[in-house]
Amino acid sequence: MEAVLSEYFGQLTDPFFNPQKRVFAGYLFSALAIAFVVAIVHSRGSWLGAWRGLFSRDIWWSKSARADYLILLTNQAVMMGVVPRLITKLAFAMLLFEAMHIWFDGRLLLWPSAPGWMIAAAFTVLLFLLDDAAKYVVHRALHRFPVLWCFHKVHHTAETLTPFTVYRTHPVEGVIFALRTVVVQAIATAGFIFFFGDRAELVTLLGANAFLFAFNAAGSNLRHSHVWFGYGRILEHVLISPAQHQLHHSVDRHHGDANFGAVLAIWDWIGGSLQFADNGPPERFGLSDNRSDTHDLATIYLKPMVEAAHCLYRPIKKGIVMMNALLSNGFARRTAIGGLGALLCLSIMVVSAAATELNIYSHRQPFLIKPFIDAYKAKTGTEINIVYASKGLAQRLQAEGGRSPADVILTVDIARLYVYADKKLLAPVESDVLSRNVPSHLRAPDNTWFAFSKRARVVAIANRSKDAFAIKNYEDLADPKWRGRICTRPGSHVYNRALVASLIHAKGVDAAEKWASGVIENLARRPQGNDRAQVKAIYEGVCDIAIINNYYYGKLKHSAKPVQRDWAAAVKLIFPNQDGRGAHVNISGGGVAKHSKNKAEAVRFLEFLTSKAAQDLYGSVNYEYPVNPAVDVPRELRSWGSFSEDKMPIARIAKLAPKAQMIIDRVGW
Amino acid sequence: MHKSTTLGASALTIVLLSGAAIADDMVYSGFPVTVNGYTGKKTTSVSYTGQIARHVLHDSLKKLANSGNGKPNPELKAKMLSYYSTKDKGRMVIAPKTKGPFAIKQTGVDDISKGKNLEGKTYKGTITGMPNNMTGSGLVKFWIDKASSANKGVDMANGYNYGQLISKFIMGAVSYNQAVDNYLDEKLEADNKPNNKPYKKGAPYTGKEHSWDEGFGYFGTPAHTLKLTPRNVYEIAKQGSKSKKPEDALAYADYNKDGKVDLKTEMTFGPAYYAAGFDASVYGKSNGTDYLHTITKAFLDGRKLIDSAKGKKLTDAQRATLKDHAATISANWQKVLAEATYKYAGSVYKDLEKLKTIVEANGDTTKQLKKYIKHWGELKGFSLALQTGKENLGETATRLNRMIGFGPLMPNLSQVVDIDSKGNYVRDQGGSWGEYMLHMAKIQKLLIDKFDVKARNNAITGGVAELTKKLGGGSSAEND
Repeated sequence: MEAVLSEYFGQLTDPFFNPQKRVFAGYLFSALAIAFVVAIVHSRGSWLGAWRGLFSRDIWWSKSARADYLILLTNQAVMMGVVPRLITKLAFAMLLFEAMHIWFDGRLLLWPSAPGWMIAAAFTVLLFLLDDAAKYVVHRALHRFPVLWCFHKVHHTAETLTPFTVYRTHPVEGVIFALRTVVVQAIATAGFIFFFGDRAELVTLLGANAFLFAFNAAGSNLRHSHVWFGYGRILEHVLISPAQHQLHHSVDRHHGDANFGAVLAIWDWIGGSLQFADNGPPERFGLSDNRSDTHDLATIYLKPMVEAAHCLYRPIKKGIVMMNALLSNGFARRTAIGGLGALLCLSIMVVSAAATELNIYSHRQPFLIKPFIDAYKAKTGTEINIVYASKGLAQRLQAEGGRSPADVILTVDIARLYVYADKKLLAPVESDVLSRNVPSHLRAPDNTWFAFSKRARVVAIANRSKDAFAIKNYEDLADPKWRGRICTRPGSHVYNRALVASLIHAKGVDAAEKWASGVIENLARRPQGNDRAQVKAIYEGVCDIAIINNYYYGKLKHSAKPVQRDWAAAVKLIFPNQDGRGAHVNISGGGVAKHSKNKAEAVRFLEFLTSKAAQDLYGSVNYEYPVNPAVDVPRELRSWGSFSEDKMPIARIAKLAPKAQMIIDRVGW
Repeated sequence: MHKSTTLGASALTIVLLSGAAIADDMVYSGFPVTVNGYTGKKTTSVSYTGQIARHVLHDSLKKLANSGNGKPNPELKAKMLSYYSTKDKGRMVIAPKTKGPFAIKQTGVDDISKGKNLEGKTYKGTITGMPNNMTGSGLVKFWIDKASSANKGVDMANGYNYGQLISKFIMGAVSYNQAVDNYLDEKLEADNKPNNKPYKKGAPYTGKEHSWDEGFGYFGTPAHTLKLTPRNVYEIAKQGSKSKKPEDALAYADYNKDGKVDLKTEMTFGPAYYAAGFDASVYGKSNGTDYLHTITKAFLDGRKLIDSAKGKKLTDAQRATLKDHAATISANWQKVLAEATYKYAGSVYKDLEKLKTIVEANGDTTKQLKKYIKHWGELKGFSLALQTGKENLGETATRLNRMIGFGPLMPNLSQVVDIDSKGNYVRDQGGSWGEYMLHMAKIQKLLIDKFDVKARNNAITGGVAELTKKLGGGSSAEND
């Protein structure tokens, strides 16, 4: 309790000693000095008159001012409890700083030769501008939106103004201000440190932002006072004078909806809400609907809540009415409860009825294999658990050894499938069904893995580039006439490495290297992104030709995002080498885990994946080609063009991968 | 009884007469023989030459790892293995060697201790931060094979600096592991190497004395460390290259003033070198850490306690105090490894920043890439070293390993994702630069959260924290 009290008194007195605060003793003193000068001028040189005018009991001990003091005392306690529960600016700054690494793909220090003082000055100016602009925007919103006005109104009910009126603020508004500060400071800090490193510094005077120091020292406390002090029309375009802010507090709404700015007037100028102080002070401060209980603490704290609730009442009421209607109807209620109960029973029955379980370790994303799992479960009743990870599954399987619960491995790309075979994590499978459904060049010689679908590596060409439709073979991509027109993802990606391996198989290492080096020469930009990003690059005019897997085209063409459909519409596909060895294909596939406790069921699942029902799914779910020769290619895929495939044994691709990688490294793909 | 008293008295006489053996209570040496019934000629029970020999084998191995010419070299491989696996006689000290005025007394490993190897003392668990569940020694031998055919120990395509990987890893998998997971752990139990029996038959030291000494030996700091500043200890390791005058380092090291540095008692090796480096703030601002003296003092206090038992079995209370000293040592040693991991995560981040700038400008990345690969090797080595202590780091280890990866993200965005059955690296397209840089920042945060590292050299997000602090609080509800 003692600690809480001492913290409270610390917080209460801090603003008077902290130059970052408006009511810092030094600022109050400077305001007083200015006020005196102004007051003496107003009272025609009478010192006494000036003194009486400034320290009139009618102002400082009015009902309104007394409320200000009580609010100050109460709010410090409330904010002490609330602020620690808000997101801190450090947390938000870190979040932004981290996110910027993703947005800008890394970090580039800008202008490394600039001297530190210049960056510090820029930071201080920017922080001040950002802060002041944010204050304007938030302030305007507080007036504009009825729900917010309910709270901000508290500040405007003040009928006499003293520097302490600055604390006449509803706690909800206090939270809004605190969050505003967090956002502004986090954006400025994270942004500057990200681009300028530790050179970002704040230029301070007595520990406060130099600009705010100047603003406060120049009599900012007179904004909330009865000292009429304008700057003259010209300067009032740039800086909000105390008189302009007093107009903002005028009971006359014509005045009140202007001068939202804190320090700078330019925001009001731009926003069309600027008023000059050349017509003399307003008649009264406050609101026209002020009542006798306006300055009671209970009114100040609770009334805004009630009013805000009233503002929000209608939309909430709508929801409640709907809910009530549903629940008050006996039949509907009984149906809903009964339905839920039935669903629960059903699910318990299904779980207990499932005789067998199958554990799948999958590199394929869950949404891609779920349709197969559902279909299999519907057919057999087998319960299937999926462990999904984009990487690390082979390591995991290896570490689990004989204890591994895995029954089936599913993955994409022959290189990744081969990892399992190489580490001897797969069991050989004897199955006539699999031998019949999967052509021999698409399965392991020792029957440890099988392909379930094919994907062709194709060339996408911009519709606008008529000349590029002359490309017929992969080999053509190395022709110097396509200089600066090709896009691809990095060479080390398994899809590209497999393509290079297929070229080694067809033409030998030297020819493959020459080809790869020719392709690199023709690139429009550094290899980057995934296959989708290449189509986007064509759409954006970065390049005209790209190497991609066929199904990405399908995904873009049928994407839920219209912009992606536009990318797809910008290209046509070419299936290369149709007059020769055929287009290079890669596979998705899988096998039975070596230590599976459930091998028979695992084989049954693999067989299912090669059946017509599942093979059709590959086409409809992911635009891939069936491996089973007895299954027709789906119509959608046929519409992109028919093709013959390179029938090299797919296992060779894995064997040639190290050589292909060396080529990729040497040519810098 | 009478006989042993006489013997004890004569041993005491010898101790008093022999100048070198007079124990200065700030120096880890000269503790007398307390073994009951000892009949040998030794006058002191302090002995940790086997550990110093292993430090020398480690330094020499690191030097060898950087000496390949880029072609398969079975001879080099065999030589490296002789420093790692075998206990061959006649192995020369390849590092550290005499350098200018910094004269080193020993030239052969046998001059320090005979029949020692590193492999037998390497962490025996599996290393989950690299593929294929290799054991500690399996991983070192895999790297030795790769280093022997790499050009000066560096694989520029896959991004490995084998000298750094081997060296930093061994600092954990041998020194740290043996000390904190063996000598300062189970060997402190009542019936394991008790103090009322010699360590082995005929030895001049008791079970507990020698266990403790071996732990101290693995830390690799001069016996007179508490008479030196961390900066002095750091300069000794640098053999004068970081001293104002090269002969200064010799003066710091040469405690017995014979003009030579005795590797057995006067040299600084790996673990102590890093502790000293952080304490002396050689990697950045004033760190305010005191790892070197804290660890050394705990070793010395522990040794004094064992000595005070005068060859009797330690009481439970004595062992409890000894375990407190051991806990201090383990905790601080772990922090040194965490600090090093932190520092190199920061280096890697800065290297990536520079690499990106060069790549964007289509410049030549070779030089910067080498630095990046070196720093990554140090990062990876230390992060794996950190995982060889006595406690399982669990999720922390998993996160470290995932974020660092099996290899660095290369400028062509490839990254090693596996090692095949023939030992070939398998690469794939890795994440983006930004993502990998972010990993480094997250690693630093993780190390602060889990190990409370204090020095925080090369802090990535330090600037954000400092600046937000400076902006002050916005907690009061000021209106406008």
